[in-house]
Amino acid sequence: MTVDMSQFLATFYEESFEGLEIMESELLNLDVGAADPETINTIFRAAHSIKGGSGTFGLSAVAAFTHVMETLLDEMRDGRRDVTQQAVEILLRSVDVLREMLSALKNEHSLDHDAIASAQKELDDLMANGGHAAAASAKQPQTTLSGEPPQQQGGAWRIRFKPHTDMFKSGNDPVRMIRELSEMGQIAVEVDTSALPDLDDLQPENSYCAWDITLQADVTENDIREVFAWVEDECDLQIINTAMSETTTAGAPELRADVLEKTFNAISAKGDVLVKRFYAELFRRFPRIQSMFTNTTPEHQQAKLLGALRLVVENVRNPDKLIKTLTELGLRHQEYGAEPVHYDAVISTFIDVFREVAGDTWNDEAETAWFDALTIIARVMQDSYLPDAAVMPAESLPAAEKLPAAAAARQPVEKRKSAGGEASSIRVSIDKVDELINTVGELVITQSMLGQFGEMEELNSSHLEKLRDGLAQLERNTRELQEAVMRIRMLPISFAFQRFPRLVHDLSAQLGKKVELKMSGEGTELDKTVMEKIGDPLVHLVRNSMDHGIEAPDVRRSIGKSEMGVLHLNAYHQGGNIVIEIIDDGAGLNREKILAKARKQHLIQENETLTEEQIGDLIFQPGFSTADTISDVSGRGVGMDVVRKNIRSLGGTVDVKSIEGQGTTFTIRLPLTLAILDGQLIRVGNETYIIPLVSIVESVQLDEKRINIVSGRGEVYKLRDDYIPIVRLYHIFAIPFNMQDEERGLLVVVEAEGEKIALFVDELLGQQQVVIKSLETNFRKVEGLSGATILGDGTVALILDVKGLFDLNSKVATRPEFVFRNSTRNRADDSSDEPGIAASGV
Amino acid sequence: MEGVAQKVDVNDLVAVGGDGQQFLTFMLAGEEYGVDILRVQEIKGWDNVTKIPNTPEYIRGVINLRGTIVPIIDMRLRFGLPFLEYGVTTVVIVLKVIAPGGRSRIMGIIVDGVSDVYNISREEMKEAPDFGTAVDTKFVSSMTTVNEKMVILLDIDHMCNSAELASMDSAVE
Repeated sequence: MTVDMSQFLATFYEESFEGLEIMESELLNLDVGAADPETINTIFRAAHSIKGGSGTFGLSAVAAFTHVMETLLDEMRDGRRDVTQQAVEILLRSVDVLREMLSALKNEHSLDHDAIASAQKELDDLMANGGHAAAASAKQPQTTLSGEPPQQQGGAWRIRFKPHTDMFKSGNDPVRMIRELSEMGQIAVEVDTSALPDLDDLQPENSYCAWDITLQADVTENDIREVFAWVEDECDLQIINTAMSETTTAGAPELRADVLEKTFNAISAKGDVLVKRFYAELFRRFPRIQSMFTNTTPEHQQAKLLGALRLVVENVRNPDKLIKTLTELGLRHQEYGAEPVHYDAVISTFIDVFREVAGDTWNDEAETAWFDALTIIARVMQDSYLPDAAVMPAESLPAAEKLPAAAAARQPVEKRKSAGGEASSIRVSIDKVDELINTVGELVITQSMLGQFGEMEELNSSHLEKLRDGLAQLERNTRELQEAVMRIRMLPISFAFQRFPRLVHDLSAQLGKKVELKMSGEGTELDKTVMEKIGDPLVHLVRNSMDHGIEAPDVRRSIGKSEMGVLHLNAYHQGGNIVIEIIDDGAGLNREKILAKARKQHLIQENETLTEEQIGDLIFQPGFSTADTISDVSGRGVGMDVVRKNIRSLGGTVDVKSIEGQGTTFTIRLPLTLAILDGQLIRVGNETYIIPLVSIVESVQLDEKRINIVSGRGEVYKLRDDYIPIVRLYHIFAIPFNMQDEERGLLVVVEAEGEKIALFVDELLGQQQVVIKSLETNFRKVEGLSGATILGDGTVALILDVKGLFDLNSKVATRPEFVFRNSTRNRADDSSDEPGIAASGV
Repeated sequence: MEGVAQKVDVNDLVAVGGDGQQFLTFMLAGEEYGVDILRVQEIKGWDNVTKIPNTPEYIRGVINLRGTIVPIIDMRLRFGLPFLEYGVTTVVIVLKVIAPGGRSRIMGIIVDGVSDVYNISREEMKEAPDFGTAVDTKFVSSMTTVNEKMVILLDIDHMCNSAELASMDSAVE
């Protein structure tokens, strides 16, 4: 019965990561000392699912690790263990380790065994001395499942099988399993009836017994587990190999001798091809490694590798001999100058080449087996390295050379993996799907209605009216459908918020501050792509508020504030935007310090007075170091200017409001989606452009009397009490001027970041929703344009980037021919509209 | 007779043998240029483009190619040749260009006309001398002779990844 498990693996990872998030957030919710059993239960269930899943997929390392966590949680749940701060911290760290394990497995990286071992040790220590109610309850399982996974091959097994009370209800019969075991070899069974209640209390449908089984058979642990596969989650199962070999290496993953032999035999005929491909691929991926093979010929080296492989496979069942050989090999490799990263490189290359050569005989099981085997081999070889540099590497690379080599060795592997089809998915609530189906239903009705007209011989005026109605309905349906489809991509912002409880928890401990995190509006929805990109800027702003905003507890007390600082994350919709606020009740921005710093950096003139807004703006200036100004903690590499840049690249804005001594509020405004915008089509010369409707303030007929020329460099238009700079798209885009009557031109007043400009256009065409297409996919970024779209007639129209136009205008304004009157004079020269080379002033 | 048969074989569209490579050639001001045929996505007639402001004049603009925005480059202007009015033989060759990072992009080049498809073996490709034609030698990957005519094989990756076409730099001085 072979089922391709890989198709479920992606789901498993997705669910596990969700489970980890639940564990994390619930752990943070735990009240130390008086824990809510339901909370512990939630954490327990999440851990349990991960354990179950990882067991099913043969991820034994994860299963073993989670098992210890689960046991710990089980004891907490039953009240046999106190919930201490220490235990919570250790569990949180374990969650981190588990997450790393899972992502390493998912991306097929090698596991960080040191981190796992140290986390496991912490858990084991906790297990060993934490239990208060029943020391005996910290049973033996960790010796088999958490410590050193035993070498599985061997003759004598001791199995303890204790079904959970409700196992019978799922239709499983222990007798069947014991019978199956008895078919494997000699078996001795003892039943433990100590848990049997009095006859009065006995529920006949419950299971109370436990069995101790001794099995003498030449089987692997997996064979035994197979017998219990159906009840894995419904029993406590311990399998101990009493004839366990002590020579295996510590913490080694399982060596699947059978799989190794099978796959190796299957390709042994192609052994030469395998090794040849291996070296070719290795040198291609990691050219620097090649220098280690200078004093050997490729043929010789290939033969050696093949021999070594054969030796390993033949001796899998003979660990003593294998370890001895590997130790010798390891010493030799130390002489060659091989380093840990090289082993990783070799393993990943080897597995890939093996997969390629083996073809059909290769499967996940083989891959895991070989990966584990190679990892063990690499470890044994590295363990044999002499400490200290007693043996100088024969051709040691200079230190500076080694680092890039190591980086280079890792990088391609990671890159390849991330490119390997990160098939991301989203969860969509059933309501949204229903809505979609309803809309499609309506669309079908409209379609059949319109279809009737197609069958008519001729149309009279009443038909025409109906046809118009139908088309109007079709338009409404299409729009609704579009909106419904867009909503599928919308996720509640809680996805971005959920990492903050942990961040705030860790950071407040690190900074020695007391901070309470409040969140509101978590249900506010925004587009998935926007969500993915807003995470990092948000983290930075939260860190910033905790670091620079909220004061230390003693400071807060001295100024009469509560010791506990409050950090509030708030999200809501406003128009077509989502607004995210990060509010702290800390010290606020220090105006004087910021001003002094800005003067020192010549960002502003001496004696220049700035509005509150402008001061806030200063902290987003590139190179405006907050380090000296607000606090001396910093150096995380991302400055506020980067935050603003990232948010702007999403078409959003960020600004800051602050009251000294009372707190700071950062406000982020983002468009709900990046894919579609409402646009105003305009015509300039023969070109059509699109202005995002959100940036348009108003459009006015040009009145030449209101144009003023400022010092011969630019024009301003007097609109009511405002003087607004005029930007002529003809000029900044160098479009041939062919307008007949300038006074028929229009001014479209647009706004970005509080500044206004008036765009001079020939004509307003119409408004429509446009799908944004990137120019950068096949071309590059063009200043003043944010993208392009395809109009109804199939032609391309460019979308204007209002902010970019401001910058472009200030650059172009210095061109000598800019002055208003010149454009009229140039009219004659530029009026050629041949498709040839456009005469331009650029 | 045998010699002639051999000749035909070389130009056979189907016979892609040995280490040879097939090239699509096109005409530009009387000279014949070749591009790797595996990079050619399609060949289409000249149609109006949407001009991109503030770009060099050899970038004629962008077109809608089944939903993607594709820039169009006039090869005559790119090589500094005089502009020729677009006529019936004028075609746009849509190419896949691979950037140094491995990212591929789609671009169209306007040429005077499509010429032929040749199978050219590696031995026949000669390194380009520093010659005085209009084409900058840095875009030429090699040269070859087919039927006693010179064919210039272009390095389109190099040609189409220059700063004006691919980088984030502004084209506005």
